[in-house]
This record gives sequence, C-alpha cells and structure tokens, in this order.
Amino acid sequence: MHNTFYKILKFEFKQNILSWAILVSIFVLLVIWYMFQNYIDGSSTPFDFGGSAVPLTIIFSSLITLHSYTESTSRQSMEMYHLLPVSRNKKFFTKQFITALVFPILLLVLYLIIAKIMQFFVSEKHSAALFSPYIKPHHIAILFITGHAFSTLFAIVFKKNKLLYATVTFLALFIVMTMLVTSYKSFFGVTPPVLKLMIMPNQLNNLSMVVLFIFPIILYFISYRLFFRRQL
Amino acid sequence: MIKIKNLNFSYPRKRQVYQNLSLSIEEGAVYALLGLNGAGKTTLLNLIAGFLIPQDGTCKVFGCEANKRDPKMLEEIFFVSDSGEFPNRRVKSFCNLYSDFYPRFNQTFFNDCLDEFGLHSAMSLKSMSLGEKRKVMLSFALATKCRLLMFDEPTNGLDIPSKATFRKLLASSLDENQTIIMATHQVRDLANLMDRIIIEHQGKLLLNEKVDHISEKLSFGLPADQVSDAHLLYKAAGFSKNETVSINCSNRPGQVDIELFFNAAITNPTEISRIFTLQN
Repeated sequence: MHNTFYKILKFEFKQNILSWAILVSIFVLLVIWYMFQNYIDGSSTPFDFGGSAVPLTIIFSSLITLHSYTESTSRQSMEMYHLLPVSRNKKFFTKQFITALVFPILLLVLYLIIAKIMQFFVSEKHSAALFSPYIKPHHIAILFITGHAFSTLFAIVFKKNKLLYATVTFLALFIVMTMLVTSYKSFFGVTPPVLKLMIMPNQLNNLSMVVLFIFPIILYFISYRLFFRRQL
Repeated sequence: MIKIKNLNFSYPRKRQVYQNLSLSIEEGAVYALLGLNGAGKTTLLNLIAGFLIPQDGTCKVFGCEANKRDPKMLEEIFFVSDSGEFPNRRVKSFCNLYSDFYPRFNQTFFNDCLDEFGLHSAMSLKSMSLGEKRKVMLSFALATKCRLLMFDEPTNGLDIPSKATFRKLLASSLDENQTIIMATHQVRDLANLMDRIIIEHQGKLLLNEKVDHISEKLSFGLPADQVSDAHLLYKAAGFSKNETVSINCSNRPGQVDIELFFNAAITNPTEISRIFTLQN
C-alpha cells in the first residue's frame, strides 16, 4: 500500500521536476527583483510576509497546480496516467499533497531564506517589514486552501484553455483575497472605495470560519469527481 | 476475462454507438476488432480500459467493473491508443517513469524491441516521427507483459519493414495467458497473428469467431464462375474474378482472407450471422 503511494509520488516528481524547477526559479528571481526594487527606490516595502509574499506564493502555487493537472495534456500521457495501477484516491491525494502542501511550503521557505539574506542589505525599518505578518495565520490558511481548491477545479475544467484558466483562477483568487484580508491596505497601501464593500469585517466569526473551510473541501470533492469520473 | 453485457453507450449529443452489446473475450488469444469507420472500435477499447462510462449494462475486465479503474485490473492492462500525441521526453526517461508500475516489465525485452526497430533509449520522443513514437509505445506495451494488451491501429505510421518487425516481436513475446485486442483497418498487416475476429456493425456485434472456424465454414478466393449462386456470399466488384467468399463445401479448411471476409460480413450481415453462432 505504501509502496504504490511512494511510486506515484516518485512518478509525479519525475514527471514534473523540470517545469517545477523553472517555476520555482522564476519565483525566486521575482522575489529578489522585487526586494531590490524596494531597496533601490527607498519606498516602504510592500513586500512583507503578510502582504505580497502570500499572494505571490498562491499565484505560483496555482501555476504549479495547473501544470500538475495539465502536464499530461497529450492524449497518450493522459491515458497512461489514468491507466497507472494506482487507486484514484492515491493519485488525487498525491497531486494535492504536492501542490497544496509541498510547494507552498517550499515557496514560503524560499521567501523566508531570501528575506533573511535581504535583512543585511535593507534598513532596520524595512528589515522588520520583511517578516511582519499583516494577515492572521488562520486567514492565510483559508487563503491557501481556497486558492488551491479553485486552482485544482479550474485546472481540471479548463485544462485545454490555459488562458481561460489563468483569467478565471486569478479573478477567483483576487476576490477571495479581497474578501479575506482584514485590511486591504496590507496588500496595496490604499483601499479603492469600490472594493470596500467586498472586504469582510475585521473579525470573522466562528461560523463564517467553518463555512470558509468547508467551501474549499466542496471544491476538492467536485474536482475529484470531475477528474476521475469524467469520461476521457 | 472480459465480459460485456447488455451495454448501451452514446457520446453526449451524438448518435447511439452501442445498443445492447454483449461480448465475451477469452484469455490467451489475439483478437482482431474490425468495423467500418465510426463503428465504435476505439469506443469499445476505451470502454474496456475504463475511460468511458456505459449508460446501461456492464463491462467487466478481470472481474472488475472497467470504469472503476481498480488498480488490480489496471495492473494487467496496457492500451496503446491511436493518438499522435506523446510525452516530450527521452525514451529512457519515459521508460523509467512508467515501468515501475508494471511488475513484470522486462527491460531487456524493451531494449531488444528498440534495437529491432532501429531505435535506442537515448533518443528523444520529441524529435521522433509519428511512426518512431509508435514503435516506442508498441515496444513498451509488449515489455509490460500485461495480460491484456490493446492496440488501436497498431501499424498506423509504421513503415513496411517495421510492420514485419512488429509481427515478429508480437509473436515472440506472447505467452498463453496474454490476450491481445487490435482494432485495425490494416488487416493484411496482422492477418497471420489473429486467432479470433470480432466484427462490429451498426452498433451491434456481428461476429465473434475463431479464424479456424471461419476457414472451416467459408472458402476464399475461388473463381466466381466456379461457385454456385447458392453458395456465393460475396463477390468483389473489382477487377479480379477471384475475390469471392463462399460456403466451404470441401470440408477442408483453407486460408482466410480477412479483408474479403470483412467485406462479405458487412454486405451480407444476415447471412454471416446465420452461418456463425454468436458467442455472448
């Protein structure tokens, strides 16, 4: 049983490692470029942990999710993947495990490493901002899960049209982020009046928290049904 | 090994492909799956592989419902589709990626097959022609040693020597527990390998018969003027007078011309059905 999980995990890594490496490299370069940009122009850094790092990580995580579900866009690869003698649950769980957990953690770890290095180059004020968590941890968790659930669903639904995927996914992510983040200012410095209506109250009550955790689970369930029950 | 019972299938917003199809496929034989364009050959292979879900009826493979894609069933199946799209990676990397999942995969045999086809594992699938890619897939399929191998138009894109190589490799690699189903229009390429013939026509199974039985019951290629009208089942409208299919009155089995037989079956389905008892 563990053996097949290990096999499918190995399969996912072997199949995607090159593309993942490219995406992670772009992420790292963007982070470095962004940080240096802030350092050079002397602006207050928007690149704080609770600010841009989280959405950037989610965006890259969703790109990886898309890739993970669409790498096998060639008919033969897709058929071979579905014919691999591994249960559907393990196939789905492995993809989700990698894209929802391994990669976001890897990206955040990379961010933190870069931020740590950057500390030596920026002023004390900026240095503190590199790690300041403007968003509450449970909001970050919801943001990640919801973002990933949307990415999974749209990657499966729009796998033949990546532009549509990108548009719909990022629109959904943007709405979720706007709704979840207690202060829109943490992202962009100012809050456009039109978006004020979409921002949730600062304090989410327990019920809405539960609903917000259930919502992505429903999206995962739909994704699973679509990915495995749909005719190829 | 494969039991299909009262299966109905249609694609969304398209005509019905199968109505009440029942079919049994036994272990240890090479099946030719024949039918006109659009008869549903690829659909049937996809149903057996579990890629499609029947509206009604059942399709059981190794005792498992095919569309559930149970790992026990999948371990014993390999399907080479007619698709022209292949993953962009080196042959060696492609083999490493997938071979882990097939417990009886024979790496030496895979390399031998590549050698026979004039390929090697350092080549990239991206730079290969369609025919070369198909050779890699066919080699891989044979090397998996799965109990059920399905090929959709296996010789499409293969050059003439490679067709002979494929025949040779297929014949040499098969063991008595393996079953091959080949959907093909290129019947002459693989005629000598076929043990049984399945013909689909108008959404129904027209015939599932051993080649030996066909050769006992029918004669092929007799001159038209030597066959009485009562025994003549089919006469080609072409140039040759010898392209006939007739009732075999000699009781001596002869060589089956599968192309002629298929034409006879399609033009005279009622008579062919009457002669052969369908196995359900």
